[in-house]
Amino acid sequence: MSASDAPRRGGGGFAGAVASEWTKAITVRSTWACLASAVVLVGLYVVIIGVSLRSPAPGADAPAEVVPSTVAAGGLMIMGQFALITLATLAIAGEYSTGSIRNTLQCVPVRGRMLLAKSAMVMPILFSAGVLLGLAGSLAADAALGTVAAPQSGPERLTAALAMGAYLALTAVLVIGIGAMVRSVAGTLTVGFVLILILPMALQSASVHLLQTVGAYFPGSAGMALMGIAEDQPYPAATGLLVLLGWALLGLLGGMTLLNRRDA
Amino acid sequence: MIALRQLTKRYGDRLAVDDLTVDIAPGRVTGFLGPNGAGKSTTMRMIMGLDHPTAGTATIGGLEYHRFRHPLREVGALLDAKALHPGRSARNHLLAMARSNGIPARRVDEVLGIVGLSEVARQRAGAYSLGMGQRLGIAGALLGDPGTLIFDEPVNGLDPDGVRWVRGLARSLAGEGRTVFVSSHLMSEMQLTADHLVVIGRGRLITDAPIVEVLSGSSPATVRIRVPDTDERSDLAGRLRVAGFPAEPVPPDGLLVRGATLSQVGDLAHAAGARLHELASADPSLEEAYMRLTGDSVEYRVPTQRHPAPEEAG
Repeated sequence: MSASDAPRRGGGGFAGAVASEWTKAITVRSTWACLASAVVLVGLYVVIIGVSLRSPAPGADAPAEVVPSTVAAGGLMIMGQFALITLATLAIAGEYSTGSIRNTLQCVPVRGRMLLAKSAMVMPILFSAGVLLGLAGSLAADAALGTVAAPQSGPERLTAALAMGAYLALTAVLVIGIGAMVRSVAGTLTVGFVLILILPMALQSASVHLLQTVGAYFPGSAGMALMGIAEDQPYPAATGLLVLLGWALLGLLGGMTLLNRRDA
Repeated sequence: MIALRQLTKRYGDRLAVDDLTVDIAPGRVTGFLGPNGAGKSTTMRMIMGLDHPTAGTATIGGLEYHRFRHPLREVGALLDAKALHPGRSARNHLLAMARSNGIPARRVDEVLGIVGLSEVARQRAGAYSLGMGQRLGIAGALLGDPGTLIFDEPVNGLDPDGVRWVRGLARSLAGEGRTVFVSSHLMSEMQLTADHLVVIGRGRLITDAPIVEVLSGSSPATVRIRVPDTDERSDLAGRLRVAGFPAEPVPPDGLLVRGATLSQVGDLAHAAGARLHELASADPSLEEAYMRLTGDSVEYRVPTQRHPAPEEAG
């Protein structure tokens, strides 16, 4: 005997799991704090870099023109993404630190479904954040750059903003996977940033060609290739998207494997 | 109906749950007793699919927990009341749970009313007292109106009113034909709540029996008498021994007589001409029965000084 008055077939399953994750995300302050921080961080970066680019050093030539969207993308890579990756981290590793992962698994006991639901919740949030930051950031960069702003059409700005959204959405899935493997907020953030940014930067600054090549295929490098802000564009943007997709799937696979094997 | 079959959980070289085979039947409250570290929580976590059994199975109505499409509508569990995000309000916590299983939002307000948290439903759950947290956990268990309920130490942190409320709730849920499985370390609580007892120690099944059987079976009727006169007391003790009832002296002037009824002891005292100040039955409490059952299975025993064993009678 059970669930006498509740409809038997409706709800639940994957859609229910996603709805539940969504409800959890919007009902904690940290989600909004992360989003607000990302806006502030990208805004600060755009203003500081924009203004400094248009003021030539004494005795230097007139400054070259700068594409506004690249300033916004730079702000996202160097500052904004930290806040947004924290958002994804809290969605999974935060539940381990509060113990609420056990409640989540009571609601959604199929672990792979739980992990996919979390991914499906954070992807649209980070994608939208990336697109909006990309568009608003490029307009703000226009103002900050002033006379040195290179002309950029609307569709060009939108394409750049979509690339930023795609980068964040796929990175978020990778972080969800890492969170399921590492199970602590600090650990997930550390592993995440080392993998996304620090390791590729270290490898690419090495003088050995092989290491530079390897470094170009880490998530951060792939993201910069996708957004068109890599230093010497090692491969086309589409390849960058595929590399990021690979990392996202790898993260999910690793997270799922360990989730299924371990006790909650 | 919860069915455990050869359920075993090993952590390293320690067996937390050892070959447990038990059926927990619907329509009654089954108490789950055992000393700390006996494996109660591990067993419940395995039923809920949170821990993987090393061997054996735990099923609810024949299915493992993760097989249900709407698990919250089949099994409601309170395992760890603190396992929630402290920054989320109680209502939103329950709302997120409800959405995962297609449970309508009005049911959230309903269970908040049932557990008496309606007034504080919009407060952060982190600001709740231990007792309010337990109530919220119970609300979560009731959310899907499930046929099976599992409560791990539900009265922890509750005030006397709350304890009485949980007791009534468990009884009425069982009265509606549901399976109710409640763990507790409070024997006195189980005595008032449970119809049936599953007792484990060091992960092993010690008893699986109706509570009346546990109470009566583990100890013969015991009678307490007080005989103020020393000579009369030793004379009566001798007569009792001859009659087959060992009598244990209880300072300053008492005797504890095992295996006898009140009238048998009263008659013997009359025959001996002994003056009594007390003649009363000393029924064993569940606590005593439990101590006897789990006596040598306590995981972390505090060394105690043993009293000299009472003289054995023939």
